[in-house]
Amino acid sequence: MTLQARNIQACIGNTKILHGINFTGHAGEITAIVGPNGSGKSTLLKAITDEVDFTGHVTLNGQDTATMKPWQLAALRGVLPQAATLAFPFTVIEVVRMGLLSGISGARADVPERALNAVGLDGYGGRFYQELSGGEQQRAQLARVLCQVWHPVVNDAPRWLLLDEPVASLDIGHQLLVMHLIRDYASRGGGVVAVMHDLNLSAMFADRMAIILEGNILASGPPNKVMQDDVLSKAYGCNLRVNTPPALGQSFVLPHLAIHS
Amino acid sequence: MVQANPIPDRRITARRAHVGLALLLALTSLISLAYGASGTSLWGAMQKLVTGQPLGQMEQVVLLDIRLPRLILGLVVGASLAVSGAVMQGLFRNPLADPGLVGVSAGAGLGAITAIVLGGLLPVAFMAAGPYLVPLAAFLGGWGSTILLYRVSTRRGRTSVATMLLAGIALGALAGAVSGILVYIADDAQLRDLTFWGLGSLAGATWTKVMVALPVMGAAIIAALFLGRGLNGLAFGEATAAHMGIPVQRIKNIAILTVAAGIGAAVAVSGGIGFIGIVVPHLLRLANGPDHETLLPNAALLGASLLLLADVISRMVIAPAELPIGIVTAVLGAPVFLWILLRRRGLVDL
Ligand SMILES: Nc1ncnc2c1ncn2[C@@H]1O[C@H](COP(=O)(O)OP(=O)(O)O)[C@@H](O)[C@H]1O
Ligand SMILES: [Mg+2]
Repeated sequence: MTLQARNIQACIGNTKILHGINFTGHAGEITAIVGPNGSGKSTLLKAITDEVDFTGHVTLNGQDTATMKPWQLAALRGVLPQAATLAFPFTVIEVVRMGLLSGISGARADVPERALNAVGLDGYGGRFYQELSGGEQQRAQLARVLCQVWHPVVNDAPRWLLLDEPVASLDIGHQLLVMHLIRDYASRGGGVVAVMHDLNLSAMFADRMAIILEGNILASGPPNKVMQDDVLSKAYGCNLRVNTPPALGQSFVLPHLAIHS
Repeated sequence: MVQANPIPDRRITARRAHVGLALLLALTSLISLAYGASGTSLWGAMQKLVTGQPLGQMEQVVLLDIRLPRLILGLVVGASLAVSGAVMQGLFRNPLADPGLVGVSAGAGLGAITAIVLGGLLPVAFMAAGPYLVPLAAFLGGWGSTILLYRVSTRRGRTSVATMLLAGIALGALAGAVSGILVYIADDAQLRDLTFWGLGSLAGATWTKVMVALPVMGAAIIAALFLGRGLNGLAFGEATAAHMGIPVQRIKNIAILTVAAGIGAAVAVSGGIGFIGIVVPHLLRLANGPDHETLLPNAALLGASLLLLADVISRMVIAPAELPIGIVTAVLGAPVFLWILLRRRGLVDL
């Protein structure tokens, strides 16, 4: 089962942002979308979730999303926006509970508490959402999204987490917590597509990476294939050196190497 | 850090509030029936009913033809104003969006005035609309101004409060100016109708008005009660609401229609009554939180109670004469509104 986007072209105003992108995410895997600021990562995710006008086709578990009703889509995928807003003074647990709105399967009463617990916010349920810090708000929104698609597989169909920079404003401990959380979601059969800021975290946790540059896919594949000096240097417009210590088996890139080379 | 005193589960307090507010409404309804200029005793009439004696003619006229329609009208107008306010605030994602403040009532008023002054010019076919003409025109006026306001102030699912309030002022001023021109060309009989209508009063309550307004406002209120989930979702913005499985466009359309119908019918039968639509939802949000699923029914109950109370006060203050009820709601509501602004100072981002 896959999430497929075929020949996605998107314009915002008169500017073409995406130039015919083909992209596939697989259930049971984390697919990371990386790339420099403004390259079109969020726009791609918004095209996939029908938030911006686009041409092309998106299929979810083989079904064309254009033919699906909002509640059918909501039962199959949760979407975390890059920047979330909330009107009115809801408490954290009230926010998370709204994930149950469309939680058609597995909408058990204890799910919101468990979701809060999973993102490291137990005890925060009775606080006002608007009074949380940025990172805490982001985790509360993630808990709401998790709540919506709590079970990774329902009726043999995988469900999907589509996340725009889920760890961008988190401290390193919570970055690892959330990455492990989505890693676990994928290994239980769900699909995860995450726009990521951090190359090293992506290489560490993702099964596949896709680098976007100026609205095109520059490279995609397993992290070790994508994390190449020439690819990254071209994408980010500076000299970058990738290291892959044999003992670690994982590629990483450090900022200071960029300056020295 | 986790704060020391977290907010308890507000679903429970909200459900308790349903019961309390229903009792309050029963009480205010009784007061409204019992109190009146004629001094006719509700208690006496009830005793007669229970013991099987016939009611006197005076009692029948006062209770059944004067106070009862007034009670029903006050109840449904109050509920309608409060629910429309709550729906509009949910739609605009802002607690300051009140139909009276942002020109929707003025638009409905313009519709009503147009119907009163120019209704006679319509082809005879329209005359069949009879008593429905004014409410219908008020509905169209309210609908048009709500849509215009939403179009002007919302971009990509985000509503700018500044634009909304300023556009509302412009809309209100425009509707007021055009209404002024119409008043200027009205003849004497129409002027009497207009003055009476413009005072904002339940004094003209008749069974005819009840029959015209009750179905429209009743339908609007009932439809609005189903918007709770959708408006909760809209609090996250349109895109996220859609991802939660909410049919956003349909919710928006229904919300706009219920506000237009509720405000249009309320304005048509009782003129402009302010502040119920902003004060009632605000008090309820303070008490039970912003969850629209409990806020909307509670707003209907509290709005009805408060308007009935305001109506009783308007009949008491300078008895045997009556104050327009709009004056009473303004005197009581405006300070509450200022207090809201004071509390939110700094949070009202323009
Ligand atoms: N609402 C908008 N109006 C105009 N341009 C936009 C809008 N949203 C995004 N863009 C432009 O589209 C490009 C891609 O944006 P985005 O997909 O958000 O980038 P990122 O890869 O950082 O997530 C950027 O150049 C950005 O300026
Ligand atoms: Mg982005």
